[in-house]
Amino acid sequence: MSSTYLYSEELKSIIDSFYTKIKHPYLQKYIEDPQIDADQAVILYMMLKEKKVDQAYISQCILTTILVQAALDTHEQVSVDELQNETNRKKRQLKVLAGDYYSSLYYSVLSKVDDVTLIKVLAKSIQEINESKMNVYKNKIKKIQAGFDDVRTIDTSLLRNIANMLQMSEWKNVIEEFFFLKRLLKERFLWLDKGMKGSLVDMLLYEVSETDKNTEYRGQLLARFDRHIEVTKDKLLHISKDWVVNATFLQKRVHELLVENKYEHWVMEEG
Amino acid sequence: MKLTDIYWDYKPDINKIEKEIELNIDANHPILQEASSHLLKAGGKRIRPVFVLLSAQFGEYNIEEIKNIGVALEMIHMASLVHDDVVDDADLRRGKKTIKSKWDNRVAMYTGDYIFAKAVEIATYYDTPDIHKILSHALVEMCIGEVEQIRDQYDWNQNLRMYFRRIKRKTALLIAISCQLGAIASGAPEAHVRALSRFGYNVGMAFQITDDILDFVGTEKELGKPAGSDLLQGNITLPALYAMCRCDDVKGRIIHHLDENVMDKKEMGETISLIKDTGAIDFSKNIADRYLMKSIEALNQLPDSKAKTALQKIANYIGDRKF
Repeated sequence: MSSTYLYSEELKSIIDSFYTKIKHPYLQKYIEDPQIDADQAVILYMMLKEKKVDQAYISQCILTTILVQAALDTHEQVSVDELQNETNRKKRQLKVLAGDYYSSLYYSVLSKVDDVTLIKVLAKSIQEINESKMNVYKNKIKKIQAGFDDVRTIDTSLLRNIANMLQMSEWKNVIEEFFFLKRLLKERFLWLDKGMKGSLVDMLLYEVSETDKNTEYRGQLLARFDRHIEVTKDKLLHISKDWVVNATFLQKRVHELLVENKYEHWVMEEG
Repeated sequence: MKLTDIYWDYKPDINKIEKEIELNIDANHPILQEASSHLLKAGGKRIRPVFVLLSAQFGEYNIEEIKNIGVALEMIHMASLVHDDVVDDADLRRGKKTIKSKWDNRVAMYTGDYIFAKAVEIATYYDTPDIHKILSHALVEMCIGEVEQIRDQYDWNQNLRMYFRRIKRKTALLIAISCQLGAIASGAPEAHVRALSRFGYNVGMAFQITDDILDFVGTEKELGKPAGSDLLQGNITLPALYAMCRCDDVKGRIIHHLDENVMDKKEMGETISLIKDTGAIDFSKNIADRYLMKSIEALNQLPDSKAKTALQKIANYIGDRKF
């Protein structure tokens, strides 16, 4: 878990309220509680703090954003395979319903405070995210950049659109580069460590020639991962220089991500 | 008489809603677009938009003002069907391949989420706080109802109260809010809004009980699925609950099936006959009729009009429907 998880007591209490909100005894019996992306919550928190909105608004905005993210993440876990047994069947059924339940909760929370603007922003983001997910899943991607754009939309549409709503467009670049770096590092680590192929692997392979795919697969892919990581990292650190208020957080968090995902370790080993 | 005959007068406005749905499910990704359009073509009775339009007649009727409620509610219903087919692992709906069957579960999840979000966005056309409070509350309740349906599956030890609460959340709520929101969006008087909501709730309850009866009395051809499908899937509905209380043999068979999950077509046929012999169908029909009576009582609070007559006819149609 990230060291920034406990960014403040205030944020911690919002996250607690999320877990209280989604509590349902039968769901808890069969499926795990959704994991919150602490970075998403922290960055949103910093953004709202900078905007100097009131505490109630900060709570609603973060709570509902993480509810939406939890709904999307839970639905992402719905398996496509044939069912092997009754327990898996029940788990799959409940993942579908839990995602729908979290989604209905974000709408309910915001309707109680008459925040139609945020309802609209989140609903719009969900549409964008699902369109991009479909692009990635069904390999509509013809160019690597388009694929990267889809991944960025999946990971950041919620925060980007909230930044737009708050008229804080300067945050959009930071958000995009940070979460893209995070995705690159995570997928690289999972591929090297566990052989798991994330969405980016196929996209990066798109740049590799057919001959190299057969002979130099591992080296080629790794080189591409590393190149994109370096470019994104530099871009992000460059942006953070102008982004005085939260630069320290960003630099610290980038360093943590590199360590968590054993980036420098692997680079040295591959040498 | 067909349902469409009843609301023939409102056909142009229903078509307008249909057209709006078509426009709104137009996604960027071709598969998402195809999946949504596949769903649209599968059709349905569009009963929720009909209730919206008829209820709106009790206020200042302006189709441009109220159509978004009908569109949002029907799209919410469509999204829930796409996800329900994943939950039920169903390959066919209304005789057509489901999205999860034509593509796969993931496409179904993305399509359902996309349509649901679009529906909520359409609802934000209204800045009337009550509309969002009512709609979102109903959605939360519907989700809880679905979770509880899974919880109660194969549980023979459930009671009537659990059944009624389940069908309220599963069906009656969305019909009740279709009437309620149609009336609110047209600025109908509060007493009329309340009466229409009561009407929708009672009609919805009767509708679901009738559906549950038909599952035992309909033929495979009429139902588009084998008779007794609910029970086969472990869902205990009103006729089965009643029969289990009245006859130990039926209770024993159902418990055995629910515990072991082994009932073939022949055994199901025998069990259905035994259920019918207990008087469960008449009992359930009687309960459905009582709900319909209450729906008519609610309508009696409203001024006479063509819309009121149409609502009355829909209630009667639900009482008489054969499949």
